[in-house]
Amino acid sequence: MRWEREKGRLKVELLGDFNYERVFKLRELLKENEELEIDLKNCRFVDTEAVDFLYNLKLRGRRYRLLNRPELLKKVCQILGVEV
Amino acid sequence: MKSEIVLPNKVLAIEPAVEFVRSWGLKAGLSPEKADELALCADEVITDVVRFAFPPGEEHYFVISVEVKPSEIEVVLRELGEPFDPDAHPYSRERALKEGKFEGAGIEVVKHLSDHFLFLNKGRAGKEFRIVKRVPAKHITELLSEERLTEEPAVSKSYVLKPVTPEDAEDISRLIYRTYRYTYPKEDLYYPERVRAYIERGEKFGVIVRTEEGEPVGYFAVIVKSDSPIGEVGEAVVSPAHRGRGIMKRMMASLIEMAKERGLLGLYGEAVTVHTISQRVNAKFGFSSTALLLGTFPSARIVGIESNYGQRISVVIDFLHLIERKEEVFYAPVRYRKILKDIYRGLGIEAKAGRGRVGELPAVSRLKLNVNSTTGTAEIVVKKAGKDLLERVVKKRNRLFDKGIEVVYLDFPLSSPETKEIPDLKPYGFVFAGLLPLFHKAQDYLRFQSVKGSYDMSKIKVYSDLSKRIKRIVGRELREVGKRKG
Repeated sequence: MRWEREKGRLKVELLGDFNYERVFKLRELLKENEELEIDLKNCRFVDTEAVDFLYNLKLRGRRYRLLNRPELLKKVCQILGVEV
Repeated sequence: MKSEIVLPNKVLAIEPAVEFVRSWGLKAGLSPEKADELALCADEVITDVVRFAFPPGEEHYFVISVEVKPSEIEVVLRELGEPFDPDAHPYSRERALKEGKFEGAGIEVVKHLSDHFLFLNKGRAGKEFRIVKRVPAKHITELLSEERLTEEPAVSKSYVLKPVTPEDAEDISRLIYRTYRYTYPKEDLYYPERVRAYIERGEKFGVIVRTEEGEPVGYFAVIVKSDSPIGEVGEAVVSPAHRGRGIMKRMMASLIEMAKERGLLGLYGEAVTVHTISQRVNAKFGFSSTALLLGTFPSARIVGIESNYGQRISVVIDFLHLIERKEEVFYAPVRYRKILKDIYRGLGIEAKAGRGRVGELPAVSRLKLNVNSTTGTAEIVVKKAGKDLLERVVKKRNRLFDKGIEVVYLDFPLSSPETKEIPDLKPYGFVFAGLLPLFHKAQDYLRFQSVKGSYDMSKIKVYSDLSKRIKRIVGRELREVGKRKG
């Protein structure tokens, strides 16, 4: 994954699917109170580990933005009945 | 076509394993979107295995195998990790929303995005996840008009018989539709792309008969068994207006010759028992009955049969050897020796019951499971019996029943002395089915069967004397296990 920090925001471009391995790396990278922006243009899917990660960020009031969401993410959220 | 990889239980292995599945999905004919759905299903299961199947820090492996068929792709993941039951950890939307806990979410997604999902806990032999995704194809009625589909060709003075080629696929689907409308049990035949793929891959061969004007009026094919050099005379049709002209006889004679040329050791037919027509045709060509399989196909409306048949369709296995077999030694429980000897005799084989000694059984059995989610059947092939055999078979059968499988067949090798020690299986819900000659790795097998529903034996029509005897045994044992209606 490619990433950079800019004005309190961690901007990440994933270079593959949003899966457990990338969630693990993101958890390591993300600092307390830092905003997160993830570009998903290279993702074909976002798995439930990633949905879990994103939803829990939201639950804790952390701010994040998802760019270029893959179609399949919508379907996964519908199945699970949650929004990320 | 089957492909298999072994990977370590490392997080780094997740992505290559998922890519392996995705690329086979595309090769199988899935659209990129559907291949992504299959890849996501694989990702969910693989991630669970890598994260939770083994104690932290322990190095293990898991196996992913992919089988591509013209109608579907099946992904099987096997591992030897700790016991786990996904049904004991269902996903809860409320828990996810309130507490942010997503336990069971992965399996929930797999269930929705796959066409069939099965989890099997195999005790000490580990766990198995099976994911099936169907390959979309166009039904013949989407390709041709009703008028074109139902046009009956005029009777011809002579008929031309040729081996089928992939170019015949559409005509075969058309012929099946014209003759059976929607009632032919092998659904793939209505999809020209699937018919073409089977022929191209050499998984079936056969003949097509045309009128002088080139219109198709007869088709008969052999489907080569994937785990043994024998073939099923599985697909036969003659257009009604052209029956009684020797077309079926010519086709069968050609198929037997083609099968011999290809080195097959035998041919078998799964003749439906809603009538005895197919059984009579098989008998005419020297086939001999060897087994009665209950509920092989879902109940469907068959032309000329009452619309509500009321139970799954059972079949008689009729077998024809293409090689010479004069004598055989087999190992079977005493109670089945006589009928097995007579079935062998029907095949022209003088068989003797072996008296070989049985050593101590290994702790763990070696079993192979084949699931057919389309027909709702499964077969468990015993490769090596062990002390845990019955416990595992019963657990596996119950699990398959829970997952919508209607019939489970259980095959024992007749060449293994251990087979003569099989206890009475009726208390476990399994009844006799018969002999399966050369059915797995060119070996003979003794088959038992366990059925979910009940069967009215009077609806099962059999033709030969041998099949009548087999039916009596099956019916008697079925009553003992409480699965016989009437």
